[in-house]
Amino acid sequence: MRSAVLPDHPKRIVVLEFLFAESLAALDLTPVGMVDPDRYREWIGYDNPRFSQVVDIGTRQQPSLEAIARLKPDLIVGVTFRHAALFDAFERIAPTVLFNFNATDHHVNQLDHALKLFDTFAIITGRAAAGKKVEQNVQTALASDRARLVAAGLAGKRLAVLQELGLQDMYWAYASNSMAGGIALKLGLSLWPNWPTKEGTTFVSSEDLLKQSDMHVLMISATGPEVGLAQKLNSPIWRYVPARRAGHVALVARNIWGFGGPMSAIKLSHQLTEAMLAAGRGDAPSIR
Amino acid sequence: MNSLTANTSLCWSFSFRGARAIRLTVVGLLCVLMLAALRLWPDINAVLQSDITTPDGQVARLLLYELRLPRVLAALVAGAALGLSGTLFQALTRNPLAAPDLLGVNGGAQLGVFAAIMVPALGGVANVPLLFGCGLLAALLAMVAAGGWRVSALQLIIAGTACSLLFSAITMMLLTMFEDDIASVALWSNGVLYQPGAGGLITVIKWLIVPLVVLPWLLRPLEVSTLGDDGARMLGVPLRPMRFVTMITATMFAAAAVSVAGPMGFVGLIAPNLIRAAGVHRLRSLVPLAAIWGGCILLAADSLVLALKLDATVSTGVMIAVIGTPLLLLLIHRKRMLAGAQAEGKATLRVNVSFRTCLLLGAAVLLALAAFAVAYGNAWLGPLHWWNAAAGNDPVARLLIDLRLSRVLTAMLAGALLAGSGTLLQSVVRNPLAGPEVLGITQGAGLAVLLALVASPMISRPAMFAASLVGGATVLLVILLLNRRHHLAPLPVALTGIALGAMCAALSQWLIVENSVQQARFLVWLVGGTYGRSATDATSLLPWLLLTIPMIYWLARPLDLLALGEQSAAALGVPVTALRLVALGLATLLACAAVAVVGPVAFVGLMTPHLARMLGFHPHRRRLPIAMLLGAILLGSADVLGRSLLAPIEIPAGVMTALIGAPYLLGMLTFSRRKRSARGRP
Repeated sequence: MRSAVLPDHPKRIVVLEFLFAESLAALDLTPVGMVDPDRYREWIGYDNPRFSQVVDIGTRQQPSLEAIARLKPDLIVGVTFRHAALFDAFERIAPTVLFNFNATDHHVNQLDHALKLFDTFAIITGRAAAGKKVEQNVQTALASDRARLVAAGLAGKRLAVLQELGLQDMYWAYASNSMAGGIALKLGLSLWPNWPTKEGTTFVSSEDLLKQSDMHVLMISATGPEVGLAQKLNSPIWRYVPARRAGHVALVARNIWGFGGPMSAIKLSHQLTEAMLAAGRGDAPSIR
Repeated sequence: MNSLTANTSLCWSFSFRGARAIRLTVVGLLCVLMLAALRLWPDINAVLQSDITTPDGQVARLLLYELRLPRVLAALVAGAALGLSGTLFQALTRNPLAAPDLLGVNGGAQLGVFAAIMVPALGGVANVPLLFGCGLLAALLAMVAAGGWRVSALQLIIAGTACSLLFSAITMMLLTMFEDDIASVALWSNGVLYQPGAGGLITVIKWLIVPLVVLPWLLRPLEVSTLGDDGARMLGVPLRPMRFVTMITATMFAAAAVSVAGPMGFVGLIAPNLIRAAGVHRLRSLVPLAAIWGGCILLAADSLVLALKLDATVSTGVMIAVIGTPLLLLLIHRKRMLAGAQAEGKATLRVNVSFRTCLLLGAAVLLALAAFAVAYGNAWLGPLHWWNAAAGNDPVARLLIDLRLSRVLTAMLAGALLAGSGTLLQSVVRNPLAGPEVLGITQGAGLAVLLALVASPMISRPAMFAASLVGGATVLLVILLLNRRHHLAPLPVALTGIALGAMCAALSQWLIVENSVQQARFLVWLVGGTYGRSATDATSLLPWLLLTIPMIYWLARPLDLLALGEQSAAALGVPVTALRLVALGLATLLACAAVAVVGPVAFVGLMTPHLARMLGFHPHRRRLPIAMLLGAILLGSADVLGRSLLAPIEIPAGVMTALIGAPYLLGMLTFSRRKRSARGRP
């Protein structure tokens, strides 16, 4: 969804999702207003100093229309799944673009989709050339990570990327069409679950992991470093999970944003690579 | 008319009912054993077939001992604890409807879980003391508001429902504000029985020791106290301490159950009532039976979820709501177990204001509120800005005024509609707690709209209205069908509605968890609010309001006559049945129109009729307009407060109405009772 007329070189951009804040920073632009800056700092953290002066306009789901209007923006950028119903309201304030955050086709993974989205975004903000450069950086970073894994003899290994939820032994697993799935593909790894889901995640329990042999498990923590991996894996079920018995479980520090843009993709790729190397060594330390 | 007390005293004379209790016990245990055997047999078989020395054998044993068996036991323990909790609450309040979920204990426990997830130092989700503390607070709140131990079923249910609505509103607000931190809460609140190992179970059983030890000592005094306070005092029962201990014990049972299984609604309500419906009333038999059957119900629901391979999607808690609601409805309507509960709700605070003064005053307040809403915000917009905006030389001011005014007008209109709906419902159902949110109409409409939203995110307004109406009307129809034999007696109607509403709410929650990782997008809608509403929304509500004005004038007089009682009304030539149908239809229409635009906002429809009555307006021709004015003021204020208190963060108006409405309603209940007792009337 987009307004009929968009400015060529928008100067006062308001971003309603972290992905766009991060993308702007990657393109060396600063928004005038953004949602949940504190959470951005914590979860995404790319180029934090840039956002120190940016106006907080509320939450992602219900950004304050008043705050946006007072900023007199010349472009508002959001996502359809949150903001479609508000399109008319935004449009009365400024020209608006809403992106489809998830690919409509389940066979397109979130990494490819996010990069395509970034491409469009770079064109809209008049920074197409810079955008191309960022994309090259992403490909380079992923290729170098892949080389590291190949050197460690981990090419083609199966892995699962889990997100802790704060419930015992129940997790989100990132599916094949998620950002993690796209990155795994680029890194030459084989992700489980290897089927696409509606939004790229699916629930799994320790029982499901029991049935998966020869797999590395990377667990994105929901707590700080005060709770170690051993504590998280202390249920009787986990003790029998093949990945754990082989020492192929690693903890990834929290606040990994699996729903981000190019910079989050680079960060996620590095984290997954480090975790794979740690899990591959079989000593599974927690990664800071 | 066989009221509950009459029932119990009857049972004293029939001691041969013991045989029935034994039969029920045997049947219940057999059911449990059969279910457990069915569940565990494949795994037991696998263990028997395999050798312990092989890896396969080890895994088979692991699956049996650490996964399947703990899950079966957890279901049994949680179900039994909920059954016990319900039985105790019911004996304590002498009220067949008291149960942990209706008293807000589960809602309180859920807030505890929030705290546990937000502050990891509190030690994880299943922290029994924390849940116990929160649950106890909730129960105390409901009890105090309802007026202690000896209140009518209706009073208690009002208070409990108010507490539950309040907690669920707060929960929703937190969910929308911290959507990434607490994806798990939504999962958990549907009830989760996955048990990796016996650790959780053992912890909970430890916590159950204390209440189980206390339980036998409570039975006799509780039984005696059902004879009435004076009788109990004569027999030397220390009523106050006994009641206090009972409440703590009951809450402990509930908290333990919630910590192992998540909030499973209805088990504590259904199990004891099932047993009573089967003819067992003596506590000595009722308590163990309620435990057995509570466990059986929960195990059956959990087995069904697993058998249908739904455990990745539908949680057991949702299944309980889906199975339990029809069961509950059956119970309500099979036996006239609830007849005899009298509607009462004559608020005694009389402020005698003349109707005209009130109307003018209300209108003035509305105007002032609208003006304030336009002016107030992060940027104060005085009349000078208004002028500039109107003249078109200040586009930003114009935009802000437009945003603020559309919102507040939508809120006012929706508030008026909800209030009208609530007043009509309370009159027709002759029940002071028949708001659209209590009768499940808003939840039904909400569920239908949510379904439509999930199916097609860019749904048009007329389609929203249609969906909303279908949902609300369906709930109403079920209520009417089930209650035609009781002539819409207050308590069964209220209960039917509460049950249906709870089911719709559970299904809505499930739908949200099922449909998106980013739950906030739907949760925001589910709590109801005026965020982002435009002038179009306000104008789409206007025709409904205009429709009500002539209807009020038509219906007012016959409704007044109906208040005198059915026979009198019929004798005076009022077509009672037709009148009820028309009024109920209109009430549903109004509530659904409001829900389609602002979502299922609670409390407005429930509260405003009471307020109008408190101001001394009893005839409908006066009560309806005043209630609607008050509804407009209430939701309008909620809108202004919600957008400005934490700006730029938005507090949904639905949460604000709960935050304003619940304390008010609870306070009102307490206060009006004090006044009554001060006058020396019971």
